[in-house]
Amino acid sequence: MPLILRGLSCLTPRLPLLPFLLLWPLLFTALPTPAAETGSVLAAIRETGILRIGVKADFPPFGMVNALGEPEGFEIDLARDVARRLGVTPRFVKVSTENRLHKLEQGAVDLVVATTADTAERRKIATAIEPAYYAGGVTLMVGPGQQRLTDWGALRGKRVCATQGAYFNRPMSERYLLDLEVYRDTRDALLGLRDGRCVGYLYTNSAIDGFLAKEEWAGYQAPLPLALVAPWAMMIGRGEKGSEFERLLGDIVADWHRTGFLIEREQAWGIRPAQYLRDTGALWQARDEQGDYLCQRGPDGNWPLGCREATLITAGDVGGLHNLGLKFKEWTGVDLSFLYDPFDRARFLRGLGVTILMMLSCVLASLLMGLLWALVADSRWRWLGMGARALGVHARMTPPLLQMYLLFFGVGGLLFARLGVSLYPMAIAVWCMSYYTAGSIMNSLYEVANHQRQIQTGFRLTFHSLGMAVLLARGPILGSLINVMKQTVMASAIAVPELLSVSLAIMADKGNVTVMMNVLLLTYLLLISLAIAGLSRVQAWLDRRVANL
Amino acid sequence: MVVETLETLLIWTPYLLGGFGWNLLIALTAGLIGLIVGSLLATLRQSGFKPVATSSLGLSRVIHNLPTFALIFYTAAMLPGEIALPGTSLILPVPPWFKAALALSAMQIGYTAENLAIALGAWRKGDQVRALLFIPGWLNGFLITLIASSNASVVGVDELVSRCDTLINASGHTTLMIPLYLYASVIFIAFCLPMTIAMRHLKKAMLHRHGQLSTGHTTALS
Repeated sequence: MPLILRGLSCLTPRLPLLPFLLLWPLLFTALPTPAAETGSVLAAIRETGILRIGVKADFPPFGMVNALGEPEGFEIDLARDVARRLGVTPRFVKVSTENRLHKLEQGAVDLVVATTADTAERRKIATAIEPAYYAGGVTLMVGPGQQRLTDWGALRGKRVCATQGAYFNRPMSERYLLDLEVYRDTRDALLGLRDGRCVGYLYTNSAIDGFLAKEEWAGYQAPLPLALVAPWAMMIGRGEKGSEFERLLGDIVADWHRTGFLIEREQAWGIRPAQYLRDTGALWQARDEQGDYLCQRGPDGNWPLGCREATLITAGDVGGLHNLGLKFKEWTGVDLSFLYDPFDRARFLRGLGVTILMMLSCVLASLLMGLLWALVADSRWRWLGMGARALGVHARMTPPLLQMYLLFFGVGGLLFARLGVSLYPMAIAVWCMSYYTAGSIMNSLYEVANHQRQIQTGFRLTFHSLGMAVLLARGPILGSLINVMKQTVMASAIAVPELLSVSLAIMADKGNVTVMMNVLLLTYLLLISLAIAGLSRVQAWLDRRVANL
Repeated sequence: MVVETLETLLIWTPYLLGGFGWNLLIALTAGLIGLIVGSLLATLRQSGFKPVATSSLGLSRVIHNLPTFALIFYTAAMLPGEIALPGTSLILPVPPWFKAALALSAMQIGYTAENLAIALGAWRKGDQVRALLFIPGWLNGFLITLIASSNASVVGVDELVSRCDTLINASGHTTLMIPLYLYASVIFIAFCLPMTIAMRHLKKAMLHRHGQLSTGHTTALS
């Protein structure tokens, strides 16, 4: 019997991958890490005449985009005033909660004015400008059914929507044992809340005040007391600590408190008056008997202790292994927090487990769906077959990401609004990726059947002949299965807590971008190599079966 | 209601197609990077010096086995926004779409490295048709990359899926969501389907000629 075979050479790794894995750190840590020289940013700004400021676009009325697509809001006004005082042109760069501090480290922006709470953890990866210009706490936005909630403790073990990279995610989930479902941005998290995926949305009160004022969220409330109040500071690069840039910015914020500029802008944007601005304003306006400001820089350039933030929020306690990890970090600069920090370790392991589970589910579901689909596509009933093949075109030519958004946000929203049913994110991700892959598997089987028909007239895919078709199409099928395992990463886009998602969360908290990114790719490489080793055994077994045909 | 939605889609079609232009640009760039780096690896693989040949094979496999979605985050976070050319005062910007294209090129690098050597070998043996089968394979990879290029939306590239989200957010209500996402998939299919059909015909024509040229020789194809 003439056989059309396509051996997948990538399925049979004849050489050990280990040496390349060991070479990895050399390859990728050698990439340019654009840490600028200490204190060089101000000179560069003056030279180019441009101040690049990272601002938010999804945080009305602090940072948002107007109808013309231009940034505006409370923080945009502050940023413009900084540029005006420095005599340079502002250039706005849209940043997210998750990436704003990387952008600084990367050198993509000079200054971040993006609702960044000043915490002890963040001071390790960026320089916070003192004094702060605002303060916010965390609250929970809940739907019409949850208004009787009065106590954070009642949320133990409950599923709560959150945004990637927020400082309070970790302390709140540790303190109240919340089960966080972490979304990429505010829009997605709000849709999650609307579609009943969680009891509430954990976010800064300033943003939630803004949402609740909108008609869209009528009936929603924030009944819980404010927790973890933290000052919001402008942020500049880690290397800018003690620079003239830091000092200039600090003086500007101090002047804002003294002149009442911040309260004036707060009113202009219709923000609910924050007690923080009143208290801090009074502190910075206070003068001593000689008529000098109480809050003045000392000979060392620092503000007096009474004018600085007394306590910053810290996350986690330090134990034995933790201490060792921190020592290693001080010594080498490599922050392996996913090993030594119990919280990071737990979430990393959970991400690994979710990824492996998704890989296995996707392989099984794709295979099953693909085989059944092929039977229908090659069925006796012509129209049914054509319909199945047309659906296959849709499956193979629509990006899986688009399919996930459509089902998760589009159909998921409708289902909840009409029937009160909410879909499980992981199930949606597995379904969409298996649909895409099954489309390819069906196509490979159908092509084999077509080819077989040229040799054997009247050949058709049936339960009986399917086995042989699978043998003939084994190369492309195994290739598709490897692809679907790689694609599971995409599930992070709809809040499935898999490896990429947890790595981004750890990076946002710890700032160890290089370490986590390399660990992530290495872990995937190991998983995929293991899968290929397993599947190449399957292929060898199938090859023997074909040889015996 | 339906008419209104269709009208909205029609009004925004040029804007959406502009986004799709970015998808095409990303996929093309990824394909070209794949060709260049892949040929380099394929050439090294032919090297007589065994360590060089083995390491280039290993490297192309490693690159091929990385999930591109994770690579998109990797290049976005790890590569600088601009590179100063050494020895000159020129500063070369590295825009986000290019970083995404670099990440997506992994698959095309793998394909080129694996298949170019085979194609070149066939060419040397005088089997031109078989060597030219490299082209439909590359085009197929281009289409897969094009579909995957929508993943660039997660790092803020202003392509089709991003523009859909922008429109949904700007409209303020989510009723547009389902029609818009469906419309976006129609745009992808409207481009990819004719390309696939044309490619199948091309391949068939090439194989037909091939059948006449070589006698009783079956080729590896799917």
